[in-house]
Amino acid sequence: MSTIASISRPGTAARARRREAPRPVLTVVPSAAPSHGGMLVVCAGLILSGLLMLLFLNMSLAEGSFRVHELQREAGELAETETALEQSITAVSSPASLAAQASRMGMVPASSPAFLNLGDGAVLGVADPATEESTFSVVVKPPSSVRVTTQPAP
Amino acid sequence: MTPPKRPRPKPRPRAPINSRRRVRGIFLVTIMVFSLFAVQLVRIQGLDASAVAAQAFSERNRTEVLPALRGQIVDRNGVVLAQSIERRTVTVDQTAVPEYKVKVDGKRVTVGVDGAAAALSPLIGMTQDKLREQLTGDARYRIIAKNVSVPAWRRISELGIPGIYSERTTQRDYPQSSTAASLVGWVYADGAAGGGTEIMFDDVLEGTNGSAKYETSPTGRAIPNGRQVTEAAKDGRTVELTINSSIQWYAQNALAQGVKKFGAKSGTVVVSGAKTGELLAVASYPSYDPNEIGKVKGSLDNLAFTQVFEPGSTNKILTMAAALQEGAITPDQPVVVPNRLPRADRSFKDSHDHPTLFLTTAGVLAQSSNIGTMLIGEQLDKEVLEEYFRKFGMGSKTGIEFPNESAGLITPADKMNGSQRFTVMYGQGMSVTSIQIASAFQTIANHGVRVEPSLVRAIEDENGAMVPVEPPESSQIVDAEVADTIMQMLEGAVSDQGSTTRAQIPGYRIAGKTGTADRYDDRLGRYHGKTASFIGVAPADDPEIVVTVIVDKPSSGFFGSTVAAPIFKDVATFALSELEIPPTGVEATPLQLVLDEPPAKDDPRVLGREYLP
Repeated sequence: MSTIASISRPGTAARARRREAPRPVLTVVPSAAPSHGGMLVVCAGLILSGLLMLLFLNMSLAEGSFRVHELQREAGELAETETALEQSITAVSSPASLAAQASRMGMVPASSPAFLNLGDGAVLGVADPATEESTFSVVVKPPSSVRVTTQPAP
Repeated sequence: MTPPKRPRPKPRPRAPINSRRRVRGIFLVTIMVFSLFAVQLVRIQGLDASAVAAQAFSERNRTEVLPALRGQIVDRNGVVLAQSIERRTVTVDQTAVPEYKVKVDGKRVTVGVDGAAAALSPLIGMTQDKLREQLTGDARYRIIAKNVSVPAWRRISELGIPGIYSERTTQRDYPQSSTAASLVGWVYADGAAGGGTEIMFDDVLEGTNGSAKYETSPTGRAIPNGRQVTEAAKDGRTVELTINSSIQWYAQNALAQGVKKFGAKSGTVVVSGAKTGELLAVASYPSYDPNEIGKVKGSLDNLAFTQVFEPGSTNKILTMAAALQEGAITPDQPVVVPNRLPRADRSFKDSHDHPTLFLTTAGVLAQSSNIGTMLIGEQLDKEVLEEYFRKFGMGSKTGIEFPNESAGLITPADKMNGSQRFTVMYGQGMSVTSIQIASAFQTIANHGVRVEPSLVRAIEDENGAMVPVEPPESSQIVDAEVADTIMQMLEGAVSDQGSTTRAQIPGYRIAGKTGTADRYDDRLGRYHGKTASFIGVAPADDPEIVVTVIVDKPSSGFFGSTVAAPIFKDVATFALSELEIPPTGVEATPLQLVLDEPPAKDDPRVLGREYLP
């Protein structure tokens, strides 16, 4: 019977055996496909280098904009200095301020124009020395900006 | 046998069903959420796209006006008479200022409004108290200082005070101050032209503002690769005047001195080129400082163009020129000048009482006799005389088109009343401007060729080149011989036998004419006071400059010979040396002015022989 049993009920035995044996654990079937490791590294590298390039690009752009800003500032400053200098020259060289300075130095206008002809040494016009009587006063004042800056030397 | 009880199979985990539901649930939720996103997306991108984009753009976009600089006005030598300078308007966002921090010993300390006021005060030129008041509050925008120079703004900006910003503006600057003010004019604070040359050439001088559009980060810094649109400002163009700024200043100064010395109401000095008609100086007093236009009281006009007056004796040269040109007289023709001359309904007289004089026509002009001039002038029809006046430029504008320029007033011959026909011969009962009478003398000095007065030499074109303006029109008014004869007569006027010697310049031959006219007062409606004048030409034998001096209503001493002639001498002396005009050294051939003995009574050439004693 046992034989029969053993023969006729093999399933039981197998089941019993199976029951005895530990159930197989589910495992990941190793893939037959080739490994993607290299590809991943390449992609990661590409992305990283792309990001880095973008970063450097942005940095250089930003740096460029700072440089442009700096140069523009410098150019502007130089242009302004030039304008300011030109303005002060214009103001100081105005006839009013020249006359004011001249009269402060004790100069008086000539009483008559005279010219020296270099060719023959002739004097054209009457060259009389100016006298102290030829007073001269500056009534029409130079611009106020000059009045401030042209104080008499100590 | 009962089969061994099969163990009831463990209820299978319901996972498949549950997870399916869960997945479905998650899916639904996700769909819903994404649908919301999608709807929102469609709304934003599809329906409201332009509005949202515009809002975003406007939030990061900033437009800055780049103000154009107004063109320069320069004199004939390039000396700047008016220029525009870039300035800044400093503004404040009061809510940001309290955050002002400075580094003290390496530590950042908040100094706020007080610190900001202390730092700004010297740069803006405002007291700390006043600044503190300006910086405190919750206004997001307030102007705290205008016309701040760019270097000063740079220093302000370097302080890094939060909430302090600036806007670009321009300021009009007149380096010659009041010297050429009435000629050059002024502009208002908003940049609109106010007078003088500034108005005449506003379309040339005015530039076109530009703009800079760029995207900014929330902190206000420009995004480097953002969209930038810059439209450069187009600066105004330069106008070059015929003026010589040195002579202009000297004339203005001498005039101001003269007007003050003689207590006059006003005055003008015009220096013009005898051969060119170019105006080298047009001084007008009282003047003003165009840099402070807000403080000006009284007239802003250039009186040489705008004020009319009765010219008086200086007008006699026109009567004389007309009579010579028409062949009515000769320079040596004898004239008997009584002390009184009855004409029309009046008894005319000279400036001084005198016994009956025996002069030549040249002597009449040299001694400036009204009666002698009337005896000469009445040889011509009044229509002919009027025609000559008009040909010399009286009664019409010069063509310079100076703002508020007057045309003067010549009464048409058929409308002249009885005595006016005679008074106009010696320059009363008619009115002219300084520029007009200066132009009449230029015509005589230039051998009878009148060159229309001009004020502008060149205008800058679009490419930055100075393009000379069309030369002014010229026309022969009287023959060269006639004009030269008048010049000889005018030399007599400044001689010892003439009406003044105060105009003489040692070494030079000067021709000139005094004028002491009754001054018509519009306000009173009658004659009141005098107009003293002297108009001279130097050198008389090769005329280069014409100097016209008009002094309105002097209160002490009123003769042209005492008031105006010394100013002429001063200005002409300076102008001759400035323009480097040496004397020619040619001796004068004086005309006979006074007859040695009374002319014969039966000589038909003698004018006014009925007055021979």
